[in-house]
Amino acid sequence: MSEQTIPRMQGFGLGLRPKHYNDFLTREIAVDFVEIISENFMVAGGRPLHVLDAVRERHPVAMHGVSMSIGSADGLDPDYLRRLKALAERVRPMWVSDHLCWTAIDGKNSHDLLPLPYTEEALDVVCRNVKFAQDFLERPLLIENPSSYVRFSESTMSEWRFLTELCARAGCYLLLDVNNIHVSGVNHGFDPYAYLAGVPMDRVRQIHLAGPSEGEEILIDTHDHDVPAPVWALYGAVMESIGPIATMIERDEDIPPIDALLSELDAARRISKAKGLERAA
Amino acid sequence: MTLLALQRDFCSALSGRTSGIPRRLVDEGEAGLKVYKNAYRLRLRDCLRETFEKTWAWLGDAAFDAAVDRYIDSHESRSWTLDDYGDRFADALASGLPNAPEAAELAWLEWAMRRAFDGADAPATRKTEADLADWESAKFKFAPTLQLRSVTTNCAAIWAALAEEKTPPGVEFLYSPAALCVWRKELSPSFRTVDGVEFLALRLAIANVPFGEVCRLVADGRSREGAIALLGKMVGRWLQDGLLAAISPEPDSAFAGS
Repeated sequence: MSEQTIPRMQGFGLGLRPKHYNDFLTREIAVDFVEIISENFMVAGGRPLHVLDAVRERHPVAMHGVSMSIGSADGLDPDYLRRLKALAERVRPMWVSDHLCWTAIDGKNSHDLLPLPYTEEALDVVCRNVKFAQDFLERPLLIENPSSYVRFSESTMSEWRFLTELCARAGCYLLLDVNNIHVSGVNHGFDPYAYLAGVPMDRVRQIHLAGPSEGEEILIDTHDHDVPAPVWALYGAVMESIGPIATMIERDEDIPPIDALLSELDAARRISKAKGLERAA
Repeated sequence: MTLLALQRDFCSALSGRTSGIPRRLVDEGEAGLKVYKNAYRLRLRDCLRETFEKTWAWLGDAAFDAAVDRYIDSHESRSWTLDDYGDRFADALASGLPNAPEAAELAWLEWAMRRAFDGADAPATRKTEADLADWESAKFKFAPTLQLRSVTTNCAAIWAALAEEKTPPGVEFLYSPAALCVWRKELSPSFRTVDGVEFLALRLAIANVPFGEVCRLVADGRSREGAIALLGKMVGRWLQDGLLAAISPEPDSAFAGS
């Protein structure tokens, strides 16, 4: 596996959500790729796979997971990995991604992206799990930075240093969720631009854009709002740094008609193009 | 404390049990930990509300949410997919609401329809009754999404009314043995109520009993010709409904254990 690399790709995409299945099946949707939630299609058959096969005929597909639990101290679920691999063999995706988090321990699943302490021990665990998954799936992974609502006192390094070490040791790539940087930056009081300066930009292969909700005291990563101004500004900074790269709007709740998301994606195109011109100048 | 111990402790905190997690968080993380704890319970509740939408409508918010609370308190999610979380909810309703058997039967129907939705594919056989030269030894392979359960109430009529957003009928107990038969026809989950004779015939056929023997076992006082005519009509319906993936003359090793 360690020999494999993922080349940089440009383009603009959307997440495939049930509300938009009919749009993708009956219209030309102007996207360069589609991202699926892997777990929604890790099923035996029926309509989900029927839709997926039809969409795959029209668009390249990226697989994005929420249940690998790459930070679990007791390792990965072999049944999950087998099903994920079977789906990847069916889809032949651009890449497979999941989150820097843990969701389950001792077989008990929270179905949430739970936070890790950023310690050497946790780094060893995540590196071991990422390497195992990459070997099993026979492909490198993209790991996404999470939103988080708590910090552990025992953390000895920043999230961006943790991700830097992870990429170096495990050979994985990054899915940079710019919204999540904004959310965690506000919640934990760090400078999101310092975060951008700290992550290994040469390992970024995909960008997520989304909008959070205002909680009582903190921002919550609900992905149910339009992309807010601070996230667009951060995206501009990423484009200035590394230039055009696969970017998508990730909307999970309160999903608007697809044309609204396509308009939002046009805004990303404009920023990417403008920053690209600035880089070239 | 190791990462393993921390994660176990965090899970305890999510479930509302006493944990040492707050002491390990910057500023005790009260607001943040509350977000995770609330999300855990809401996610499980929303999953059950979505999966058992009609049972929820039938029972009403108070009774349904009370049943959900009991279920969440006594059932951890043990699967990587939230889709599996409601697998014991119908049984929990049966024991928690013994005076409302229609609720458990309605919940089972919703669960079976949900399972059928993304169950394994198997194209229906193109054979017709006329293609079958040897009925006596014929064996049947059913759609992998087929599920059966005996019922005692008019839960099917309640489901149908709720699906059409009509006022559901009151609970009625069935006078004759009956069962629900759930499967997926092409891409659409389907169900129908079958009587006791067809329920028995289906169970025998699923158990790989040859058609001739099924006829003898369900004859119940009918003549041989009468039983064959009755079962032939049933098989015609199975074919029409897309319940059958294959029909094979005996012996056929491919059908062993089907």
